[in-house]
Amino acid sequence: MADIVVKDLIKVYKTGKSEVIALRGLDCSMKGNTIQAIMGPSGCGKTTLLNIIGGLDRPTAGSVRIGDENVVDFTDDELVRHRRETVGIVFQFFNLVPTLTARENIELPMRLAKRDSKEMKARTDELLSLVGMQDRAKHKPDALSGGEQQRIGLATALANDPPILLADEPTGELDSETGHQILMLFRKLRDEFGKTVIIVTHDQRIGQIADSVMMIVDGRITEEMSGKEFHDRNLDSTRSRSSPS
Amino acid sequence: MLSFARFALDSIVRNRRRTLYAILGVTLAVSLIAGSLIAIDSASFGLLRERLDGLPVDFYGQSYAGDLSSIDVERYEEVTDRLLTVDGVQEVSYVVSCSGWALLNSDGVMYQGDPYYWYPSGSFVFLPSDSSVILDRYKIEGEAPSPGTVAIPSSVATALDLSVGAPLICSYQVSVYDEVNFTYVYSYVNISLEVSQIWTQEGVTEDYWQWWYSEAQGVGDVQLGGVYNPVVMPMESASMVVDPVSEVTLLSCPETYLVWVDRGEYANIVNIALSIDRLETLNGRLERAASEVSARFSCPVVQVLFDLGSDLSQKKLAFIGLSLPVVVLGVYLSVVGVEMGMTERRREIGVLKSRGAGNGQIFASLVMESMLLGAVAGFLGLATGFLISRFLLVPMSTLYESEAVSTATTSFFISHMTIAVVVLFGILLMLLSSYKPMRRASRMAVAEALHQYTPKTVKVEYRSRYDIAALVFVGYSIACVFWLRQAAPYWSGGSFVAYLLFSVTVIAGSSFVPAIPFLLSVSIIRLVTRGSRRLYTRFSWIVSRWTKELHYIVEKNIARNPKRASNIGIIVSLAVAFGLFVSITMESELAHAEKVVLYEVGADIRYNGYCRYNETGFYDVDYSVLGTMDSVDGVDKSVMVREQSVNAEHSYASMAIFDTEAFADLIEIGSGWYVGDGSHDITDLGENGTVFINEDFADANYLVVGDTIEASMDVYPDHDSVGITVSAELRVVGVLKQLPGMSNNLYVDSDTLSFIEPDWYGGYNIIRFFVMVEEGADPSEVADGVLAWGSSAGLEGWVEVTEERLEEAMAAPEFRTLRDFLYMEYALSIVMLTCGVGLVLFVTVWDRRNELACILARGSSPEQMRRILMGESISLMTLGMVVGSSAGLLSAYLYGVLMDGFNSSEIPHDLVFSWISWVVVLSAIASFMLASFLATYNAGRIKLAEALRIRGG
Repeated sequence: MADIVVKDLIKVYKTGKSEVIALRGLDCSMKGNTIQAIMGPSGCGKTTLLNIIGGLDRPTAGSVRIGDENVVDFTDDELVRHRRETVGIVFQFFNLVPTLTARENIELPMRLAKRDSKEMKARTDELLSLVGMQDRAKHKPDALSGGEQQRIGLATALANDPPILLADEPTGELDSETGHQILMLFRKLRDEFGKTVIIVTHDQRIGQIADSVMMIVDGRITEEMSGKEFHDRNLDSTRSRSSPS
Repeated sequence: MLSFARFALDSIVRNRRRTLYAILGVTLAVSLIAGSLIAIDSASFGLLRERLDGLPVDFYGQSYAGDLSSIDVERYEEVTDRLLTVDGVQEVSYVVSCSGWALLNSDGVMYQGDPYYWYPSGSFVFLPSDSSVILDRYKIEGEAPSPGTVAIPSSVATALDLSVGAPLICSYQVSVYDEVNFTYVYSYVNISLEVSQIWTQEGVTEDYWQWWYSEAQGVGDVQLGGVYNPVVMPMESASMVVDPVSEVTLLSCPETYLVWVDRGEYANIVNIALSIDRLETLNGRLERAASEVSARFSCPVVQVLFDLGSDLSQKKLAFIGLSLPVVVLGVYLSVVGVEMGMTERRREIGVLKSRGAGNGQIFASLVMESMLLGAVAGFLGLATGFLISRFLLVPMSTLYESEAVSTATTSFFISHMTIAVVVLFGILLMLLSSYKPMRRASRMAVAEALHQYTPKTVKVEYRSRYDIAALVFVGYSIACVFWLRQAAPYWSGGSFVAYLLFSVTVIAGSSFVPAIPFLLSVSIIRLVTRGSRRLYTRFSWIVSRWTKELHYIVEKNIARNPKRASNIGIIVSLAVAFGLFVSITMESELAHAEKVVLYEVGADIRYNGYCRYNETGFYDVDYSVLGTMDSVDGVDKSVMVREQSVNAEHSYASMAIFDTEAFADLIEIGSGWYVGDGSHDITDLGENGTVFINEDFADANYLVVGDTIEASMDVYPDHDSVGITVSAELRVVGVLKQLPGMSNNLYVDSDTLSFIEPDWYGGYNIIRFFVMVEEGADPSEVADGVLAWGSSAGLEGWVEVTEERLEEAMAAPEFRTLRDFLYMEYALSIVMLTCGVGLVLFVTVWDRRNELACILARGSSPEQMRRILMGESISLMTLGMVVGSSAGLLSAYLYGVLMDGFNSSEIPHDLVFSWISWVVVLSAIASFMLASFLATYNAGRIKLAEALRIRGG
């Protein structure tokens, strides 16, 4: 899987008469087949970066190269193809179609890509098995727990086998145990399926699975470290807080 | 309550989108009412002006108080001065008249004024010295005559061949009774007067109720001071006329006082009752002022206002009633809009309640808001109603049969009452629309309201009993229609209680036929969408070929919000049902009217001839000519029918004698005209000694097919007045309702009565000819030829031309106005359909932004997204179209059945589904598609990043 290279990315939001600069010439590079975590305070621009990589938003300036292609230069149709084939998105609030069953939700991206129905069924079964939801395939989202919904959300994102997975606060609505399970799934996707996973998160456990952690503040990268370094730092910080004075 | 006014006003102003949703339906509904009322106001204004223009005087009072044979200018001036002192009077004048004169020219030719009067009807009118106001107000074209001369109307001048300078001989007959010889002795006073002026006048009439007078007024006729076609002289020359007659007899010279007021002040269309009251008061005061001469005053302006006033109220009520379908649709639209607004405000209401607001306070605030919204809708409705009124003026001018009405497009008029009524309607309709949503919102539990967000799938608490009850009532109404139709002709009274029960149940039930489209649309769609989701999701199959791989989403999505699904379905259904009911009913009525004409006339032309009598007292028909009708220019074929009065079954009956084969060849006789098993045909009369009888004759004399009747008639072989009686035994071979163009009791072939020579028949019978016109020939011109031909054959006749009768029938003003108004109403309902559907779909897309953004984020193209949304809306449209079309067709059919029951002619009402009905259906589909496309267009252009940040469903 090709690296993702972001160069001089700028995004300005105009709200009424005021302007908000979400990204201020951000540069970064994300290696393929890794888990990249993006962290930072609220409003720092991390979700904006994810949206631009995922083709959900267009930057004001800059470039996002995935292999030879610059996502910023994509036409509307190319963006549709990009969202359909290159990236898969996992949302914080799951965002499943409420009238479809779990199986039908997973099939949706494949239907949009006009896949063959046999192929669709096989792939869906495979994904249900991957996320451990074979028994709940016929249930609608309102009959599933948060963790179950997020598993289905993950399976849906993988429906067309995109090389890149983008996750925006995937564990934000989940309890600790379920969140951990989801993170483990991400690790499996990198290790067994060679996916590149980019996760925007506040979850401090991300260091356990991430290859690198990027800190963004005010639209710029302020710090980059390995996942291990992040994890160790976190551990130290936890110990220092719990030590008696 | 008033303390909530500011809060309510804030809410309306702050959230314009919600305000628009809420008032859209009511505004559109009120627009039609406003448009109708403004059109009527404007039309009445134009009509009032037109009618008042035709009145030359505001008040006129006649007095016979003067001495006979006396002209007393001093008295006239005194009364005039007293009349001028009456408040409100602007101008007064007077004329004096004397009648009973014969008008002749120097050759002794007498003017035949009014042919209905046997005595000379010429009258003199003497003008005061200053007659300018009279000439001006009476629109006389000409000057006042110079002293010693006369002015005469142009029609009199033409009749007597008089020009300026010629003498007019005025002759007065004096009769004296000779008691010796018991007879009257007549003498004549003849006066020769020089004609100095020949007058013409525009159409005016002093007596409004004789409006036909001005229309029938011939060219050159003049009305002045209550006299028709007077000979006018200056008052100072009156002695030239009065004195010679006074020497031998007494002459009555009544004076007429003419009074004018400010019409703009007294004839006010805004308040007709007040205007009439003021004018009548003024009339009384004028009589008081002229009491010395006992003048009785009349006010033709009151007549105009009275006529217009009663007409106005009836028309306003009628058009408000006719606007009901659009009002119902508008209210429903507003209910949808208000409910959507209330859903958005649940959280806001929850917060208010958590801060201590009670249910009653919330409700009062919402009521205040609703009233303000209604007032806004009313005023907006007035503005849009003004535009609609410009279109409605055309049908109004048709109804009033006045070109002056359509010219009112350049002058607009609206009464205070109209403004008040429209705004009040807006408020009432808004309260009606909002009541249930307001009640529900105000009673909501706080916790539920605070946690409320637009649910992903709407759970519906639905009770079907009201809808089932509505369907049962529809069934009952349908049964009443058929029962009424069957039972009514045979209802012969019975007890008061039975009649009361019959009236209340059957008649009342039948009167709900116009409400059937509404009841069916609402109840069936609610049952289908809310009672069972499975049934109506099947409608999505119609788009499956188009939505293809995404069809499964469409099928599931249309079931997710049954309330919205039913709203869309009902809006479409109501519009289509109304449109089809109107178009089918109107076109069916038109077709029925055409058929009635066709059957009444029978052929392209029907000639009806009576025999003309010669000096010997017998008729004078040239039989050699009678058989040559086909030789008339433009005649293709014809058949002669002789109608003869006969004695049959001990009573008089009318018999039609004709060549039945030629008749059947010329005119198509529908099978519906035969009574019985349909095994009989008019050509069966070819067998000698046979007769067809009509149904009434058969019932009255208990006759059936196979019976023999004896028919006898008087004939005149010697052409004298005595004649002989001949009879024929005739076997009944069939029973008819009637034949085209004929409604006789007995029908025989001419061969059966061939023993009677054509010239033996009595002259009082009718000889008819049914004529078919050659292709390309003008039936009216051919009819003229036929008339001339008939005259040459010795017949006095008249013709009926089917084409002319059809034009008359189609031109009936009430029908045309009604049709134009209802089609305009349908056009407005299409606008409401577009707005309503657009509104619901727009909100649906808005509510589902997050979900739609997810689908886009998962790889959907904008075109795929639109296919999903359009697929959903088209499926619901199909449901609405099916229900609406069925409801509209059923209602039109029932209306036809009901009309057949009251139909005086035997011709049944057939349902006509014309191209207009297709336009109704297709326009509904087109507007729906347009609304859906516009509402869902932007769904593919959602800003994904922005939409995906939104919390919830």
